[in-house]
Amino acid sequence: MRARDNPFASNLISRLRCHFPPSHSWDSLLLRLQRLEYRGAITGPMGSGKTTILEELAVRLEKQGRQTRLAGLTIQHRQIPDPGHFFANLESTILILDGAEQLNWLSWQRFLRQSRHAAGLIITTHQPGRLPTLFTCATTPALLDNLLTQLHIPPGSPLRLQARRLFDLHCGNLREVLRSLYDSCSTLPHPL
Amino acid sequence: MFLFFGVFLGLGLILTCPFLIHPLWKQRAAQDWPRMPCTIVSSEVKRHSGGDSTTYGIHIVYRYHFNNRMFQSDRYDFITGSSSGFKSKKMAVDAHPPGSQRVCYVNPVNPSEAVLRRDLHAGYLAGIIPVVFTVVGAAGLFVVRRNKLNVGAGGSNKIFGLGAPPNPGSLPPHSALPAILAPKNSPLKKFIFFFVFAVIWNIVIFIFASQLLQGWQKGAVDWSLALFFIPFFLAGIVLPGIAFYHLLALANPRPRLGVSSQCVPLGGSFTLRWEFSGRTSRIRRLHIRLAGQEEATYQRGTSTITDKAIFATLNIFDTTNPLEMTSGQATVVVPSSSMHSFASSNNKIVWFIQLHGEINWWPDIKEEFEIVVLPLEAAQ
Amino acid sequence: MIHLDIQNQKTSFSPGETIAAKITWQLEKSVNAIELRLFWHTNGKGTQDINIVNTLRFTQPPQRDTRPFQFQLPSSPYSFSGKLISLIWAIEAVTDPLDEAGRQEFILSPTGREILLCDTFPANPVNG
Repeated sequence: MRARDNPFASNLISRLRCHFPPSHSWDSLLLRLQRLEYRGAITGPMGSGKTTILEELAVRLEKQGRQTRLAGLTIQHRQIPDPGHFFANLESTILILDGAEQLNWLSWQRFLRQSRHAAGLIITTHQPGRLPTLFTCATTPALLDNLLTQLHIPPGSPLRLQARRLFDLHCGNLREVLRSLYDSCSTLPHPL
Repeated sequence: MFLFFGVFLGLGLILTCPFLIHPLWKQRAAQDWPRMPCTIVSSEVKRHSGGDSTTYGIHIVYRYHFNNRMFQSDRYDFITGSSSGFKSKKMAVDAHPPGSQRVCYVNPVNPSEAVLRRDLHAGYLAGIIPVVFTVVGAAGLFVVRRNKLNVGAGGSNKIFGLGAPPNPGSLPPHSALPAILAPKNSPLKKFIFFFVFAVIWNIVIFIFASQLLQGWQKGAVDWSLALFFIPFFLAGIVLPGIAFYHLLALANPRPRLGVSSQCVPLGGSFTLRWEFSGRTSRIRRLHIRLAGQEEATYQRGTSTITDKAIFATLNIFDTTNPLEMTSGQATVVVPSSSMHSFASSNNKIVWFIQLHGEINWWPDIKEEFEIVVLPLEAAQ
Repeated sequence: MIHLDIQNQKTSFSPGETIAAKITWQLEKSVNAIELRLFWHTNGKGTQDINIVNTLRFTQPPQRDTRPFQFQLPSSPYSFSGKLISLIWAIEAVTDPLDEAGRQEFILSPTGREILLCDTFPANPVNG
């Protein structure tokens, strides 16, 4: 299968929308964020959808008329790119930091100091504790099913069965499940 | 990584002096100190508890006379600090019971300084540990710095000395000049990488293992912790093996590849010449091929992963005749219907020459040499 | 509504060729500008790369109109697809502020077809 026909291509994965459990909704999340004075953390293990929620949250805050400024950290890039710009004129800006677990204790303290004038600070991190928890991401087979539906994988497709096996194999890491499904599809001769 | 190896180097340098250089220097100097009789006042093995671990030190106090003055010292030898291992210290203490007469060596320049034991014994070997730290730190810094320089000089295209592509999707500036190709990863680089990695890994494993061993000696083994560390211990055994494999590979015949043009268009051809230095008679089969590869980079959690898939392979040379291996040349025609070299931030099409020399009972020669394939229009 | 029509419904172009097309729009409200973009992007397993090669801007456009335009295509990169990467060329029109958009994909290749990456090349060396 051509990369462009692969239903698990990165551009399609990045368009997946969050699917909250029944007890949560965007309204409840935004209300909680407001109560926390726009300082909170989205926590959860790797591949549980923290970044997806964070990105969509940024869009929703922008729609509410709030300015946001987003930065992402990885193991290779553990410093804020262009910090001069990132920390400039913070009074009306909500800072959004993806991958806050990459900052060690000292760097995190420095980050907190530099962002103290911001209108808000929302982070993603693996473990709770750095900021009040806004939402805890957890992966379930039902969430995986929802993502497969968004990716137009028909019910009863062998890919769904394989996805369930991969879900157990990767201990619920959805990102890994979807990447493994990409590899499976790339060996197929034709588009689905 | 700079910080990581810098800490290693700094710690190594700081600790080498008190734990190795100073003790050895004093031990050498003490060879000229005069022998004097002394009386043992007290002797005991001192325990030093820190966290979960306990170390032991020899503490023997003795009195001696020098120039009609009495002095007291508690120096047994010149080793700094205490260490694990109770038995050897207990034996040393038992050999010096309180009230017994023994011989000490006194510094004539500073008679308050004396030592009971001035020979070079196995205890001084512990001073080598900071040296290992120093070597690992220095080697790590060297490799990291060289890699950074290479990236700055244009990453994978540096073999052509052409620098990085200026824009996403663009090709490196090209030249039709002949060139000697450099391998993507030299055998020496691979060996250094695995050696340094194996040393660091095993130092960390050694620390954990000694903790577990002490627990075992005390009769309190944390079995869950021991089971958890089994895979890490096994890796600690395998890693030196891999480093050794690459050390053996350093003795392989070294190939040199030259091409008639640094860049070749789709459908175009170039002449590839190769020659080996070293004993090619050891090579059982030599296989050279041209390969095209997709490289897609993405984030996996907190690390960046690059997946690779070979989409084209073209046999250039394949022989089992040792006489044909030493040197030779072949004309290579790049398929016209394929894709040219391409590089954007996260996605690449890379062409390279793969050289594989099979050697019986020895690591094979496996090297890759990148070339640039141009689009038809750019070539015209 | 924004619609892009490539002349003669052509879907494939050679490197360096000129792509001629027309844009038709019918907007519900007035916009500052409509921007036309010639670009390529990747799809596949890796993080998506996008490169805008050329742009054309119609400032203060009326709410409905049709205009012809053309872009000179570069010599590379070709449209291709493999297991991990697809490279896709397209022209796109977007309003400023972003409200509506139209897009038309095409192939840039000397063979007239997307280059398919598959391991099928024979061994054909000429030994000297």
